[in-house]
Amino acid sequence: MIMGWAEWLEETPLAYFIQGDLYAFPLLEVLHVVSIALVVGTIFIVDLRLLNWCSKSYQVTRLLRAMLPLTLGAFGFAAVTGFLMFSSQPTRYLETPVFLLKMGLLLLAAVNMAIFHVWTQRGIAQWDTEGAVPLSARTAGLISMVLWVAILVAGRFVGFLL
Amino acid sequence: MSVANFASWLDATSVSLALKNNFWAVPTLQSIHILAVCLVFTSAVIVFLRAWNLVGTDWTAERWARRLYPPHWWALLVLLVTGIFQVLAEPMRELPNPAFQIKMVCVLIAVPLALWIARQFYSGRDDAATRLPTRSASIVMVALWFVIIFAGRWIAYASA
Repeated sequence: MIMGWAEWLEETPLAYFIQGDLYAFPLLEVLHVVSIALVVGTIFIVDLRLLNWCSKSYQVTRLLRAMLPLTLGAFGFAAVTGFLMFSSQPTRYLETPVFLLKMGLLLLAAVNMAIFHVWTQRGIAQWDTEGAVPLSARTAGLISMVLWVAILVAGRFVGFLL
Repeated sequence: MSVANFASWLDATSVSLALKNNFWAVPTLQSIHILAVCLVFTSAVIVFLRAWNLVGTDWTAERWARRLYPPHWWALLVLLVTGIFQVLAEPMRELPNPAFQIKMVCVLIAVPLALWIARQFYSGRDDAATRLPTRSASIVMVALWFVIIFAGRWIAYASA
């Protein structure tokens, strides 16, 4: 079913334009890299705080409030540019294992983030002021950093293995 | 010796051949390079936002400097080392390439500018970090890094 949708997407005017235009794909790729740089950078700032390695005097809630809009905005941009790049050759991307790995890792990162925001963050008012970051939050931070490094590396390898 | 001749000479060195013959070398170097770019670019954006009092006003500018700049300088060193190895791996693709040359010019402007902005942030006076020259410099900094990332990615297309 997904392949059928991909084959349909590949025949759309949008796909033809991105495939055929000299600058469309390169421009999308550049914008994708810029937005990913901001996503990963802001996520790492929060994750390092959750691990209690950096910014220890900055409350997690305040740091999240400062960084989250940047992360979400940049991620939105990365998602749009990523989808547009994908739409140029969807069947080929779906047949590339490292691309599927990247999508799987993104899903895991989203699940990790959801668990943190829905579950771990519930008690944040207590542990944020006491200084001791609970194991669940530190684990979320470490998993997030590992996943995002893997996502970035997988993304780079897509270009070589497509 | 012209740039093209120098690139050609580098291309024949044993280091270059070793890097070219290892499939993992270039993508691995690029991945580390991009990770370091994430750090540097995000620092530039946060410094810009803090200079304009848009984000992170809970901390003084000096506190942000102590948080952001040490890893920022290390990341620049990583960029230099991985960059050198990437040039060694593909000198013919990089050195004569206008996109690469533009990128290097921007880097040569960005580093001293970052040093100057860092001095304002480290000064211990928030007004130094938020006055107009620093704010203007922080915008230029973000724009420079955008151009650097753009040119860096464009190297592959300009050489195709």
